[in-house]
Amino acid sequence: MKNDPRLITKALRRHINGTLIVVLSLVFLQTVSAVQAETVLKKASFVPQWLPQAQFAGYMVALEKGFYREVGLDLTLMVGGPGKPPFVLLGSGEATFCTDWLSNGIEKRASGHRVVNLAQVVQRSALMLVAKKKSGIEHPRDLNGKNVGLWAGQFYLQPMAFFRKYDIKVNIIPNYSSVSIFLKGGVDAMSAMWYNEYHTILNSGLNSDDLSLFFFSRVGLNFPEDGIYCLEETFRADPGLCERFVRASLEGWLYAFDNQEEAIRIVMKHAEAAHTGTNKAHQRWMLARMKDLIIPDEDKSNLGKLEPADYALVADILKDFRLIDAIPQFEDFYRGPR
Amino acid sequence: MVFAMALAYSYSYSRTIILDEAEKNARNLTLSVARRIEQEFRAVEKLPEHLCAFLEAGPCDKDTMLRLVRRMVEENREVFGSAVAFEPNSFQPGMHWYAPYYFKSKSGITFEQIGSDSYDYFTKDWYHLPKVLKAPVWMDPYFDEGGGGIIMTTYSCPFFERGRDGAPVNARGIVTADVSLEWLSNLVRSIQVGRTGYCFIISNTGTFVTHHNPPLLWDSTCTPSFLGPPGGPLLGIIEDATFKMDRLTFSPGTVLLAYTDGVTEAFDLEGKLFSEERLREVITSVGQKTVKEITEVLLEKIDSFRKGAAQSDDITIMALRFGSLTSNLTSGK
Repeated sequence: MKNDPRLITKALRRHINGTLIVVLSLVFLQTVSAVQAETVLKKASFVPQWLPQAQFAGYMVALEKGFYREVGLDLTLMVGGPGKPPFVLLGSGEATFCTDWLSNGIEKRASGHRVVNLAQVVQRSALMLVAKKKSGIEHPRDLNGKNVGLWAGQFYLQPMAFFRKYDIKVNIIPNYSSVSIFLKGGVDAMSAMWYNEYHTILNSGLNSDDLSLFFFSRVGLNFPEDGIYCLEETFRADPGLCERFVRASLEGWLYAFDNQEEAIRIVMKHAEAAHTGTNKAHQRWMLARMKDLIIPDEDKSNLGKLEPADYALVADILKDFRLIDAIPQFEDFYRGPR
Repeated sequence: MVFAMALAYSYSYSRTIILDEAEKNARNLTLSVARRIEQEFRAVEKLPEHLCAFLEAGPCDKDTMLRLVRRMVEENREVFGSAVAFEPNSFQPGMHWYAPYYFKSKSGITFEQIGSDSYDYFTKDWYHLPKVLKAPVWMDPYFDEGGGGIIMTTYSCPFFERGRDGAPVNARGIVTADVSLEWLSNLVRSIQVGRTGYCFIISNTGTFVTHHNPPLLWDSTCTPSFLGPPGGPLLGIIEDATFKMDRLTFSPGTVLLAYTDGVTEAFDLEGKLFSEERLREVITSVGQKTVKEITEVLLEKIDSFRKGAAQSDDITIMALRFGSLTSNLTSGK
């Protein structure tokens, strides 16, 4: 049988056409599904209250692992830090969600800013006073008459309530961004975050045995710290969006605690992009402490919940110190998991 | 038997004496080196201390003060920069920040006012610490964002309004002398300790300020300089220690040369060291060659310097050239 070149060309053309139709159909279907996915995802932005570090590991992990996309969110993770007050960014619309301390949230709400708490992520206060035993400080009352370095703003409240509780009068020395004033003997004690400055002090050569530690959370002054906030109008307009953001964020935290090395790699990527000059060892310590603060005693039943008693404690002290005139209703303020 | 016992006793006794002597000598040598370094530091400390005494002694007009600060920087090669930073309203009523700062730059002695909303010097350690301590302080090395833009350490000296008894009453401000880390590194490198010893400086909070064998860095101008350390605790001493990381941006053609101490501590037959200065000289002459040629020439120079003396330590050299078309990487052992 002879091969007719015209027949071959025709068959070849039919084959090419068939293949082209299949390929084009696939491309079309893929494009349609991609477009559909894009339209389903809702844009939102989130700003933490400080620079990228393991204090915010859960959010970074949720973003990198795609947890936000899974709940239909196209989230932009903003870089927080100095000069970026979270509630101001919420108010201006630059951020849909933010984190901040509970005391700040209550103060904002009480001063007329309609912000709501969507989840109380950090259940325990990490704020503490660190003192040198060689200054003769072993008991809170030993602080009487001593020089104590304190940070300004909300960081003032717990120490002041602590001094009042123990009827102590101290010389308050303003403290800024480093622990040098403590290391060089400028103060006998200073405020520190358990997950941050305390570790820096240990790494500067002081042993934990040389230090007296006063955790405010252990003396009836537990101020829950980082919570998730948004504007009340955001919550009213789309409560589902808020619930999905919180759910994905908490999932991010649990994943970070179960996969700490992977979480640290993600944190370091964000920290390096922001040139924070940190390192893995410090972030590893911070993440371990965040676990202690977010799920104390490994009890996940209260994950993300704000207890009315904690709210009342913080609000009462804010009122005592005349930082607020009236305590906002708990039900108006808190819209998170029950 | 008795002879053997006497010999053993004599050996043990002599060994103890020799070890004790060696330890004593090492301690004395260390003290003498530390004193030598301390003298250099004292010379720097005197400069802001004298200016503080002058400012406390009586009124000083603005022009005189600026001239004195400028001269401190101009006439002292170890001083990179100097500022007189005043308390709010202390220099002039209504003036929150007043901090004239002179520093060395490529264009000569440069002047800046460093207080502003974005650089609130009252919150910086170099200002806050001496004010609280009411005493001068050497700061741990830090990256200066106020004007210098380099890693430096600062000697900060407070000046006060004093009571009749001479005791400080109110702080009026701080005088600083900034020392670049490069100057400190050069100072420490210039001190030879015994045959194979070397110096390093640790701050009183455990930060390594200088160390030996810093890498060499040079660009197309081929003027190699030793890379200062970012500072931090010694590796492996503290579990989970915190280390600071620094970044360098290389322009195309920049070469980084890292090496072990077998290079600088190669000896000739007379016991002389190859030294960092010879290393720098070699690099100045061959720095524009390929990195392979650079390492080969360096190894040849070390060999010819030794003149047959045994190699004293391992030698590893790594040269990296960034971003040029002819870039390559090589190492030698």
